[in-house]
Amino acid sequence: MTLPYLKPPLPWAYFAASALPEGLRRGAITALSGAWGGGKTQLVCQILAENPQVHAAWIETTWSLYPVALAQRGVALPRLLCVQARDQKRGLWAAHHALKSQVFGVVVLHCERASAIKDIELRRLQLAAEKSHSALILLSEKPLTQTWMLALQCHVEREQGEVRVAVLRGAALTNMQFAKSQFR
Amino acid sequence: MMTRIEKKQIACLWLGDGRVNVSQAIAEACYCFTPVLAVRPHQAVFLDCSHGLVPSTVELQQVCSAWEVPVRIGWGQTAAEALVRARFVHSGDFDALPLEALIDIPSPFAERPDVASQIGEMVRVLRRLGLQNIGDFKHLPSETLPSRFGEMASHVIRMLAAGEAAEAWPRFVPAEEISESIDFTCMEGGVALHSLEPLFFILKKMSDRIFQRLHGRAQKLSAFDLKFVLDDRSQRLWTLHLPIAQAESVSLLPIVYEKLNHALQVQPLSSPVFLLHMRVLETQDFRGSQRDFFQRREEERQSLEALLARLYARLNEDDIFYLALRERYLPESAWKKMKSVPGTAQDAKCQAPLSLRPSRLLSQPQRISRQGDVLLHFSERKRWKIISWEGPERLSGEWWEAEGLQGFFRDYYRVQCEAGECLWVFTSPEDRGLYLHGYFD
Repeated sequence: MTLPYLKPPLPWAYFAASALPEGLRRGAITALSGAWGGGKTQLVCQILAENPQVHAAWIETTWSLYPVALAQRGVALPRLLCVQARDQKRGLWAAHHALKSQVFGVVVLHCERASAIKDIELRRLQLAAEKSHSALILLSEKPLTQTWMLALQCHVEREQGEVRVAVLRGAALTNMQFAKSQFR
Repeated sequence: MMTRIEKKQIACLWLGDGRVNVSQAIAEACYCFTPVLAVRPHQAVFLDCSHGLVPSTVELQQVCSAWEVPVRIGWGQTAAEALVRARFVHSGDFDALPLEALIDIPSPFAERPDVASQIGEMVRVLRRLGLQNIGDFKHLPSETLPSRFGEMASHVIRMLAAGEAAEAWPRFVPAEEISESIDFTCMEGGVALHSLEPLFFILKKMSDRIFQRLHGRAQKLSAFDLKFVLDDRSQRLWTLHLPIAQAESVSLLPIVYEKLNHALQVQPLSSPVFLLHMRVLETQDFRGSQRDFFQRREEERQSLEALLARLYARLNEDDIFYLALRERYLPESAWKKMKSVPGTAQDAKCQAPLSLRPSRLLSQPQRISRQGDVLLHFSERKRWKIISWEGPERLSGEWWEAEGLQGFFRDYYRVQCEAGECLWVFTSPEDRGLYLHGYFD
């Protein structure tokens, strides 16, 4: 018995993201977790800056994103639609509709209580992302438990001033392999 | 599929025996093709496409499909020719048309019913004499016809010979109010409905018709009334003002669904619905551009507008925004929310500060305290062990903005903590306090 041939990833299936092992997967969910001040927002900024042609939607339950920092890190502000959802239920609803609209290449959803996301809600987002061929980035403090729906799950932390990305699940690299990023 | 032509080209949309009066609505929808329109009440719509772009038969059928009436389309040099070609489904030799086609030739817009009855009588007699089609009629000696069938018969012969239009086109005036109703009891196997899902199938049909009519006038929908008439003779009325005008029912229906779903959960329907009525209250100008074969810009713009309308309907309007920078020294005032996409010129004008700013800024600076190499946040019950301090960066000024000309003075530090967090804190010389203002997340 021979193992089936594994196709290499198609170049248009990923957005450029030098900090992630294979880039940012399109049509799938990428979860980034880490403590406040750990560097996960900076990682998303870097991804957006590396893809200046991509329109993005940034959805937060409580708005704390500082646009000045985004501009400093090379994010094109006119390409960023921001939504303050006020609660997680509305945030998930807004993310679902942003994905369904097929306008945005990247949708970023910052959840304060990611563990409270139900399987059905995450599955809905996964299907919407797949259909629209967009990348959904879920930001949370603690890692999600429903890992089978995530294409890539990373833990972001800062060590001696440098942001480090630990791949927990989904990339070709082995578990807990560190990809040292280039930014501070 | 448009072609530019030189000769006179008239289309006739034959809508049948006039059981349903949709000719006025279809004529409004056809306004996007030509401004020269005429209506034969309950039966046909005429389009003069001589000057400009000629729509294809498929395009005309697509417009009529929203009303779900069988439509037959005929083309000709005159309104009469187009009418008889559509009515008798004949695109070949004109002379081969049946003799009954003569009835419509003197008065294609049905403005003279007496003439039609005269010609009808003549056609019945000629049928009995063995004449089959218009070609046979043309071969009759025209001098003998007036004595047998009156002046109208020779007039018809002359018209057929010259190929001239019988009369001036009646003026078409679009309806002042755009509204559509669907009565379920008149529908095939119609029953009153009481749940939202089946009602939405009907609502989609209705909104398709409304949008076809608006598209004909080059307008978008920005406000409308929706009325449910219930079996117990009560009514439910909703007035919806759309934050962004919509041009397609695909983008409108999710907004309506959200609204109705919420309203019916709060107050369910007391009895089944048997009539739906939709009335346009406000519109906006809309010059739709053709879709680019190579770029999706136009489609994306429409999708974005539809998404924004949905978000505005569900969330607070101020919570959906774009970002723009402002030239301010006070960090929390250095940006603003924008309703529309900020222009590039504005971006170029406002430069971000040179020193690196945190990606997360607290809405209000929070008081923290320092005990040795530990920072404490009592209300949040947080504790950070300090590894290093970077700074200070002194930010001050803006006395000209504040009342009493009191500016601000802050010394900002970037604090690296043992657990990996990076904080943005400042000290204020006014109260000698230490404040947490952001995270380098």
